[in-house]
Amino acid sequence: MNIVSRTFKARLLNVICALIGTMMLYRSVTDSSYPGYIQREFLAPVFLGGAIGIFLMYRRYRLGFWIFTTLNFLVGYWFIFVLEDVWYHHVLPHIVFSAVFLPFYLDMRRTRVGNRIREFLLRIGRKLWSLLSANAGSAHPIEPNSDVANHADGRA
Amino acid sequence: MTRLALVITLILLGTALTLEFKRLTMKPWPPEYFASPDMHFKYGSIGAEVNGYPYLIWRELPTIFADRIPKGFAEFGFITEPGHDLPIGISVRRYGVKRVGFNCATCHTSAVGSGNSAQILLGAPAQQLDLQAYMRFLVDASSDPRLTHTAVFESAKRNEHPIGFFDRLVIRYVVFPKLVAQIERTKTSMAWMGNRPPHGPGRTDAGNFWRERWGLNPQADNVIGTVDFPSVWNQRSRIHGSFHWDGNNSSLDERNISAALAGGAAEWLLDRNSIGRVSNWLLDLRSPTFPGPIDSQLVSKGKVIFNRVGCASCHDVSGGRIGKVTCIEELKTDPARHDLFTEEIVEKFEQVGSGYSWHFHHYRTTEGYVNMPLDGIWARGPYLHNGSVPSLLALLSRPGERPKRFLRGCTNIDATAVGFQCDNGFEFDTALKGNGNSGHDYGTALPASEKAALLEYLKSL
Repeated sequence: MNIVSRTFKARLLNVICALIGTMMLYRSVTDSSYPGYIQREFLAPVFLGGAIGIFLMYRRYRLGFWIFTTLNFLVGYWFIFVLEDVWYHHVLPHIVFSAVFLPFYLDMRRTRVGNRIREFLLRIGRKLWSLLSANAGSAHPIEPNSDVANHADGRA
Repeated sequence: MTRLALVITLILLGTALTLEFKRLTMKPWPPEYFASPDMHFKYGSIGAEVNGYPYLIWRELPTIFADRIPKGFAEFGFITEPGHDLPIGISVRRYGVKRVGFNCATCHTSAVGSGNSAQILLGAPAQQLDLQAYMRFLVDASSDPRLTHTAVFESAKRNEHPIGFFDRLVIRYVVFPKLVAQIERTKTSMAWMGNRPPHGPGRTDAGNFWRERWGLNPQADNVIGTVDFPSVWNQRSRIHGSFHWDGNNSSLDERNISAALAGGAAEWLLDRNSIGRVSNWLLDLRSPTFPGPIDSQLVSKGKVIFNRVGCASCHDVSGGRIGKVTCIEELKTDPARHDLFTEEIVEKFEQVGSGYSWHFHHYRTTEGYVNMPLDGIWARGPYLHNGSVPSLLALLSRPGERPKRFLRGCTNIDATAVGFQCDNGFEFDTALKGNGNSGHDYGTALPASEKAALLEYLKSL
């Protein structure tokens, strides 16, 4: 049963976009303040991309969610494996940052670009699946009486 | 949207904001950037401010405790350049609040001369800096009832250091209550120092710092590892040898990281980029030239003697033994530092950085102390690993004839004996454990004229 109006829900999403979007923006600014530290500066455009993803969600585009989530996990990976920061400082926050937008996902709409990307990814997925299936099908099962040179029971 | 979905959304939002707040208060903020590497060496952050003293309080300590440190932090030997608020070797970075920390220049910068004629020597052992006294002062001052938030605000006002409204709130309600606990922890972690002779200026005992960190209970024994700060210039010429006084590590990176960790950095927040920048700069940092006249003819004679009596075999690049360890039985210098570094310590070091790409795996025990190149040796006194011999002339005397007590921590050069001339400094007692001035009796039998020539040559290095 719905207990909040569509307007309230829309406003709540706007507030969340503003809060998390601000975080992404200032992290983009702070991470650009490491001159000569390329591993750190790399994160500045990534965070900016996250902020753009959130802006798209503010405009109710699902593509924004996927951009944000992808970059979010890239940041987590980067901190843990490149900057060698403590893993649990990055896993939980980055899951939470994306998850907070999930209840609003169905209220967002698809875009033509988003559809194309989706189609493209699906095509790759199908191709990979067919390749895997083909490989699995071509594998010969081992026959019990195959031509084995050295039987365990000493037969020649 | 259902009630459950709304609750979940609000919980997730609250968690996201809490996690971000936590990040802002415990993770380092971007450090101040210095375009020139020497400025970065002097004032840049290596990430050692993690548990550093809160800067807004720290900068008022000389005013609040003017009776104890009338010359400010210079009382401990910190060097402040004109136009700079911070002494060399102190960096400021925000970890929640702005904090002060050490950097490489803390232990590796000194000065010769005094007043306006003073010359700063980057990469030199900070023989004037009494780090232990500074740490003890911070602990004492923090427990002193005179140090209150009101005293800090009044001092800041008097010194025209504006503190904003928000910072005032944070200092009063967050920083001060936490400072008490922080200082208690520091006091406990420094308890082992009470069982040992004071370090005095220019020395530290990193070995016991590590033992304390690993829970080896150094306060229960009197094992000593106090050594002089070494010079860190011309690192390229040392890169294929062993580092630390006993040559216990052959990796420059591990030496640098272990120094940063000993200086206050944390494994998980190690600023390897910054440490690497300093390290690269130090590879080719030249040692300073002697600040007085040098007799070139005497230098030539001295060089011949240097080669003839065998100094070159251990201390010249051509000798092939630079960076190698000479066993303690041959050297006969004070064994305390050597004895401290046991297999147990090696095993503990092997755990440092576990899980990180930089983890330590080059530590080892050795049989003695390492042969050092003598570049800028005139600026590296007092001599031997524990700084127990005040001058090179004294080092060329038989161990029994070397000064039993002498003053150290001054910045005026003794051009004749080659060392630092000190009339009012810390009294170093060679009779105390770990302070022995025995051994290294090479060249002690030379006639006075040859010693003079040898000293002249050493001044020229």
